[in-house]
Amino acid sequence: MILVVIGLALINFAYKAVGPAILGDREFPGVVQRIVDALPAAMLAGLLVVHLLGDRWSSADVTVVPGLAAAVVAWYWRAPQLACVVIAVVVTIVVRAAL
Amino acid sequence: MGRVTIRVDPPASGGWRAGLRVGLGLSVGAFALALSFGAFAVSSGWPAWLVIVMSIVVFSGGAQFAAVTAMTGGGGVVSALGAAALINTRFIPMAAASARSLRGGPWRRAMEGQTIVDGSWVAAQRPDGTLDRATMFTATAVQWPAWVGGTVVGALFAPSTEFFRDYGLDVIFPCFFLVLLLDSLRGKPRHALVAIVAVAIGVAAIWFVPGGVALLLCGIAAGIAGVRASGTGGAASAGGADSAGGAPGGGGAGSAPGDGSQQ
Repeated sequence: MILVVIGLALINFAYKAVGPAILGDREFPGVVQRIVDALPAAMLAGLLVVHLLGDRWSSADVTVVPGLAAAVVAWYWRAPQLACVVIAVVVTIVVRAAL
Repeated sequence: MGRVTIRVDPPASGGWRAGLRVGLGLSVGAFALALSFGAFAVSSGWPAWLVIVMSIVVFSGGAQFAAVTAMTGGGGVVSALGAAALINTRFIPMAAASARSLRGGPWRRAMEGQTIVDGSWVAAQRPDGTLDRATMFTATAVQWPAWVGGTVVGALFAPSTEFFRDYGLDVIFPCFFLVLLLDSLRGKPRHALVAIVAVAIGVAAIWFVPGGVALLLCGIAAGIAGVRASGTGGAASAGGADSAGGAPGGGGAGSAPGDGSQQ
């Protein structure tokens, strides 16, 4: 177990260190930069799905939908991010308590 | 006469205040997730102290879950490291993309690169394609103690799955990523197709592969932007074309947390 922790720490360090250490100030070509620019949207969408569904959809839970919908409404009305999250949590708690 | 190079940094749109703001939000989710990780690892037979050390030195949810799962499932050190390494592969392109926004020599850049975590990296993106170092550093600095603290509480008190569900803690991270995505699309609506394709890939992939690998596959959706750029000649700068859907000077993927429009 200790070896796993040490190994994982080293791998993680290397992943995050290699690019910045080697590439330096170099800029990507236009097409590559476009892809890099679009990565956050792709990653965020992926993070949303991964956290919502879980491995083999084991975490899929319809009771989170009203909470997320409430957060979207709050976001639309320009509520702060943290407020959106709090609203989602409260709505989810209420929905689950009611079911 | 020697050549004079003047480095002009993009105008500050975020800084540490934006990092603090987005970091606080993310840290709530990080704490809840770490709580479940600590409880999961201890219930899987890991000693609490090692679980806590793991969170201190690794600080990567997906990889930590994967490593513990692989070990619990009868896999050895190699399979645990292999699974975790695969899951974190996404950090290679993310770090590479951040390279020109970091400072100093190779070692300093390598150290600065350690602050790259999903939420912070996304929040620190500027409309011109560069990265706001202060935003990323601060957002990560706020999340790290939350991650470690959540692990400590989870490892020592091992709350039940029902606890997370009853208090809606499982909705925190998805919700935060949803809000960040909406912020991102508000500033760059042309990335809507990228997000839709990424969702489709993610929904299908998560059935077959672990979360971290699914996430890596979702990144393929960003290739759409490259294809589109090729179709239009790809000559325009990444930042220039993005202004079509956003307010002047704002509206990047991570600009919303820092541009004041949401806070």
